[in-house]
Amino acid sequence: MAEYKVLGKSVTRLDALEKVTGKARFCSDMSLPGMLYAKILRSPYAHARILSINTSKAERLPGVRVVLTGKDVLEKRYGLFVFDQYILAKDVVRYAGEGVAALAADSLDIAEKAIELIEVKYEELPAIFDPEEAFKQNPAAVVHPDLLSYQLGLFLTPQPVAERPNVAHHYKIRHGDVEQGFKEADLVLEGRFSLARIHHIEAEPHTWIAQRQPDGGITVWVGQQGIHLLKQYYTGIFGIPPSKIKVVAPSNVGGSFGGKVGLTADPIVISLALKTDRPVKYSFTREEMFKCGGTRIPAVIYIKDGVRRDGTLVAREMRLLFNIGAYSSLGILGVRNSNFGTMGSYRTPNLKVDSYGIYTNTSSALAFRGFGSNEVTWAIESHMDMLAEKLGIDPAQIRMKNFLKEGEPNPQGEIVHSIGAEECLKEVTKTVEWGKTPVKAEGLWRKGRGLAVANKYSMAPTAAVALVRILEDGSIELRHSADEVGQGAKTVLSQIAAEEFGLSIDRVRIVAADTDATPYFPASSSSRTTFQLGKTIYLACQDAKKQLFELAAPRLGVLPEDLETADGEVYIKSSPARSIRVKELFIVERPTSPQAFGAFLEERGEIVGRGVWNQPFVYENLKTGEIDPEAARKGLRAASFYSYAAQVTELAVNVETGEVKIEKVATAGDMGFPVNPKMCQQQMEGALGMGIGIALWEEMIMDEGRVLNPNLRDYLVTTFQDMPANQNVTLLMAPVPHKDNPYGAKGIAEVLVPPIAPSIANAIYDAVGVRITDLPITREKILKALKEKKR
Amino acid sequence: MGPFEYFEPATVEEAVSLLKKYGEGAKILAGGTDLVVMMREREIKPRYVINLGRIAGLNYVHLDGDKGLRIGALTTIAGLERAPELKSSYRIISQAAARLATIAIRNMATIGGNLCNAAPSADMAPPLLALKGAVKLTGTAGERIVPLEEFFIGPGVTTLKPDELMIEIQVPAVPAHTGGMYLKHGVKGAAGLAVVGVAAVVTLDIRDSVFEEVDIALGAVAPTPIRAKRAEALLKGQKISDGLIEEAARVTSDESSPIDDVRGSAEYRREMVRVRTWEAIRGALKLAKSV
Repeated sequence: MAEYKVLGKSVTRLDALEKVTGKARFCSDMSLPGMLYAKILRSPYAHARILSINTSKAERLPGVRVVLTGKDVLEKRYGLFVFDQYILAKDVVRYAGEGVAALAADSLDIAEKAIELIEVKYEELPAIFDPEEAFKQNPAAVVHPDLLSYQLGLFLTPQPVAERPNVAHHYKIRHGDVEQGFKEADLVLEGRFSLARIHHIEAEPHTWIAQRQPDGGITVWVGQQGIHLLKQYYTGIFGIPPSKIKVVAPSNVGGSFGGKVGLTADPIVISLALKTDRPVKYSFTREEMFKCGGTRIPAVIYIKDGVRRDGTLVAREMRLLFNIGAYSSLGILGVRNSNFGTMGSYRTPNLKVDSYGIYTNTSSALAFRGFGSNEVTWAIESHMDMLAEKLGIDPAQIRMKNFLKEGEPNPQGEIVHSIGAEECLKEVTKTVEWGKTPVKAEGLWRKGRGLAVANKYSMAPTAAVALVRILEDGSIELRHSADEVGQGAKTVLSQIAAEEFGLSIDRVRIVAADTDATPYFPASSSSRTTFQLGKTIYLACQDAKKQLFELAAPRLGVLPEDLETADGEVYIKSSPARSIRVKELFIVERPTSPQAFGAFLEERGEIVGRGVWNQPFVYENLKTGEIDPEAARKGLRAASFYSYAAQVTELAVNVETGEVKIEKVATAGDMGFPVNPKMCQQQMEGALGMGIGIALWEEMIMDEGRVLNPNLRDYLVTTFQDMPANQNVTLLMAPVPHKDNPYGAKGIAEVLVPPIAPSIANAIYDAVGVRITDLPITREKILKALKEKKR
Repeated sequence: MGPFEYFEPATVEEAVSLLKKYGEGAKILAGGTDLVVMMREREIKPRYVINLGRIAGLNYVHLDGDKGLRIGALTTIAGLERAPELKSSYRIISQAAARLATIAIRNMATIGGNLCNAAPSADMAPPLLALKGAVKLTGTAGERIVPLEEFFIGPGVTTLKPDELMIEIQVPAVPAHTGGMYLKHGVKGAAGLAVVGVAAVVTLDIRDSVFEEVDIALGAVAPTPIRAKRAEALLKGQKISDGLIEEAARVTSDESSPIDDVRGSAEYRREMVRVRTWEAIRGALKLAKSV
């Protein structure tokens, strides 16, 4: 491996100090002169017809500037994949929390008061909440009776099912012949698994400030992820040309975890702003975050596996029922992308998956850290243990036996490359001495341990552009569109530029996330930033250095290819003592005069290096989910890359209360190459906190489509006190480099979450012999299962 | 949050006269950790908010030999958690304080607020009930002392009159060989409201291994924090035995009347009352033996 100076080192996060001192700026901190404050009136009913809306009292309240209802917004529906949603409800509301009216006023107080003055009469309609009920051919309620006439997006081509009126999308995999596979199997086992509705709990609620521009365009500051995607969406919805839309994510976004990808209240805020010359600010309240700020897709998963006596997997059939909510939003993508999770780890000669996105009268799902992988991994990794037990095989061995290997086609047909599943599992099992049987405790607290492995795809197609400027003092300016949602993008991308220019990281400055200033990158989502943008920054650095060396070569009397740069100097590789300072290449006009021009390069004015990379990509066949073998041989694929993780959890279960104490954890991640090992470990620590909560208690408790715990008093998140002690947590790197990144690096943020819940469930089974298949595994569920087992 | 008029009285008298003037429309703000949340969630819309923050002299923990313990109503939960006066006989109070919500909330929340808010799950209530605490209220008609047991009437409802203010919590002296333990059972280990709270205070007749005095109080399993009197009676004066403790735990469970809510089912709560009471009595006994 190459010797790096900055890469692979645990450089301190660039935003660490500003964040711990509270100085970091977020969109919520912004205000503009003359700014109005928006509020949205939301439906209290899960499914109702709007009989009338009277806004006259609100309009008369002094300080109220704009009031909108469904009749005042765009006529047509919009959507990301299925165009199924109006900006504000027209005639019918389909979930409790749907926007019915919106207004903007001089102050938040006035806006809050005015929103209560709007009178709406509803007639309740039969509603449906359970995805399996909604999936039926004759469901008790149909969320979108006119679905088949809706416009569909071109990407991914949603496939509604005519005979199942609540199905927005049916995605399938048909690889091999599962029926034949089950015949050949020595054991066939079936299971049903489910996952609760959970929320991301971003520290900063979604925030927008939108301002109409004199040219008819609009500028939107967002506490969101993916400025260029948002710009595309806004163009699509409002028909404003892209040249007149500017989207900016201020230097920090307060967390996303997937919840800030896509659209939530954006179209409402922009509709308000288009009616006034004053900027309009809107932030979700914490309660709104729960009610309409996006959730993980609740799911029910059926799995049927056929294995040989030795543990070889011969056939797997899965039915994934995703409750995407009332509007399909990103749910359609989850329905499709979850399938990567079924194909990325194990050799499965016969694989059949039917994945459905099902409408219900609940709020829309969005992406969630581990998008789609969480759901299928929960089922698969629990089931792998169940198979192992039936066969009398060790849980690690059954996985080892079935892992895909480098160079072989996976069930989709993609030629496997950079697979760290085995390395991750080896690392964690070695750490905990997995082969040895631990001492079983008697008494109230019973001990157990469990493991799980996961893969997480990164989505394709994606393209990215980055720019690198060399400044007159020899420092470097990076221009890219990755929003900093806390994942550490700023630091990692700066490390790459610092390495390429032989500079310390403080000599790299970032201009980020402003569509007017920074080039195309869809979003820092899908764990793609280090892999994709890291590569384009590398390319941009090479381009800038080439230009720099062309300028410096004549001065040093050598050819450009003889040169290298470090510490703000260009030097001759074969005799580093002969060098020229980068700043000497710049001409500074009248440097002592107060009217100095600054600096420019005589020949080129300035150096702007440009890096572009377009992911090699091929669409899968929608009838089989497979990709063309010929394309696969050429290295084309439907996913960008796969990351891997494994975890062993050791815990104790109290047989009288159902309490679970996480005692020891070993987790390993395959990130290809850890650009910043400490930050990779911080991702692991963060994922562990999130994963423990998801496994054991996080749940939005629903009643007739209403969230009963839309607050942090009753929706509990993991605190430091819930974490195992530091000395009992081992965080391991198991990097398997990827050829498409110059450093071999891949993303790691998401894949760490999916293995946690199944490793905990498997450990609970090991401890007390009860198998919980419905997340979260609450104390109450464990106790109930223990009692049933005793009977 | 709806509009309201805001006051910062400098004395208890001033606060009482504001309460008298504005009556039911007024709400007292102490730490604000319950009140502000309820206002934001629009559960209540007070027209007048009276912040006690500027009133001096209501933040104290006084230990006074055989007279017992007095706590100022504005003492923060974090203050109780750390108070040196609560490290021995009254340890159960600091133990409960340490389990209330999270550090940030404990720094703001006050003992008076926790009791006056009268949530069935209030963490400070069971230990103070089991210690036979009382509260000192002051109003236009003067001061009165109410045993804590009579203070709670229903969820969010107390004997406080509209013009009254809680100023002090009083706890009688604790006899020798007394131990107390508060156990909070939640949805998870840290933070969150109690699904079940159990406080047990046990005084031991050490020569005869007899329960001289037993007080058991429960949180989150009835409309108010309650005492488990049948279980107390079952133990009092009896020779200590595992079987008897188990029986008392079962009786305590029968005395609870929990409901199903987002934090747990009634069935699970009853079960946890039994388990936690058993544990709390045994824990209190162990401590009683050691002092």
